[in-house]
Amino acid sequence: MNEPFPLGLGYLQEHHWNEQCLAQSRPALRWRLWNYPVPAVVLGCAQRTFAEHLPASDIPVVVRGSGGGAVLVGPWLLGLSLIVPASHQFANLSIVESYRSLGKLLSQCLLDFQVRAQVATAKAQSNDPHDFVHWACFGSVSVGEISSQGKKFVGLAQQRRRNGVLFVAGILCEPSPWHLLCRRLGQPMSDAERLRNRTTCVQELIGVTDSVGVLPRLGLAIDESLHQMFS
Amino acid sequence: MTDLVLAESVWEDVGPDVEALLDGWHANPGELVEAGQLLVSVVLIKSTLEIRAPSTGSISEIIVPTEATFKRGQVLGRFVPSE
Repeated sequence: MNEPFPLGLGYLQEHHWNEQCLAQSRPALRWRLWNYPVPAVVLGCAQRTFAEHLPASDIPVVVRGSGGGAVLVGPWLLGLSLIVPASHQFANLSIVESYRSLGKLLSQCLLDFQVRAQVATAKAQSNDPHDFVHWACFGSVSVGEISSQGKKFVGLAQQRRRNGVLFVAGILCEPSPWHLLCRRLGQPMSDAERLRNRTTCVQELIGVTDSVGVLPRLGLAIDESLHQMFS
Repeated sequence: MTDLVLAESVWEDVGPDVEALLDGWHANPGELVEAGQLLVSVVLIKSTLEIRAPSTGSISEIIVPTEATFKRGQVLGRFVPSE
């Protein structure tokens, strides 16, 4: 099937594409959207120790180059990689402002689906230590990330190198099987329940049970918005 | 001797209580490195950043170890340029 926007499949392909872009001395401004036919756990760069001593499983565990928490990629998730050369003004925004700008772009794409969501202006705080699942990307909200009625469904991260900045985003289009993530990483099933309670997805927000077509439509909207933003 | 610090500009708009994580040192104390060589990786607000050697030289002291957090302006280590 020919996609009307650049769509790659699978985390290994995404990782390879990201690394190839970052390895270029003068990377071109470009992006790619991703879907994941097969589930995998993608850890933040500081979570390497999670991957140690895990039993063998048919769900691979990989470590990405950016920070943030663990993500369970799969058919429910739309991923985005955006590489911006160091010479571009977007790469010279502050970390906070760059997250806010990317969050704003993605939230405007969601308006096409009549989804009104909130872009976090700062990291969410709480006095209740059980409010967040800190080891999971979708277990807490950071600046620029997107929620609806307090439930997160878009996560962001980035890698800043001297030649450019790689921004990555993950958009939950369908409910994520959180129990698979918790089980794979040896975390309590109570965290799966908390993740379920703290997240939503595009399918739920637009009130459909069959989300076929949501992901490609959203991918197209994001692709068009990026073209407008960077033209 | 040069203090290795995460540039002030990186902390723009970051709240006063936010700390960064020292993700890893990429050179050992005393090891000769070239200008621009990667010395240390850090993570701030889910963003990975790099601190590179300002000149040929070597790290003389590691102050913030791997997996420790640090505040804005905190010295992470010290670097001695080669003569």
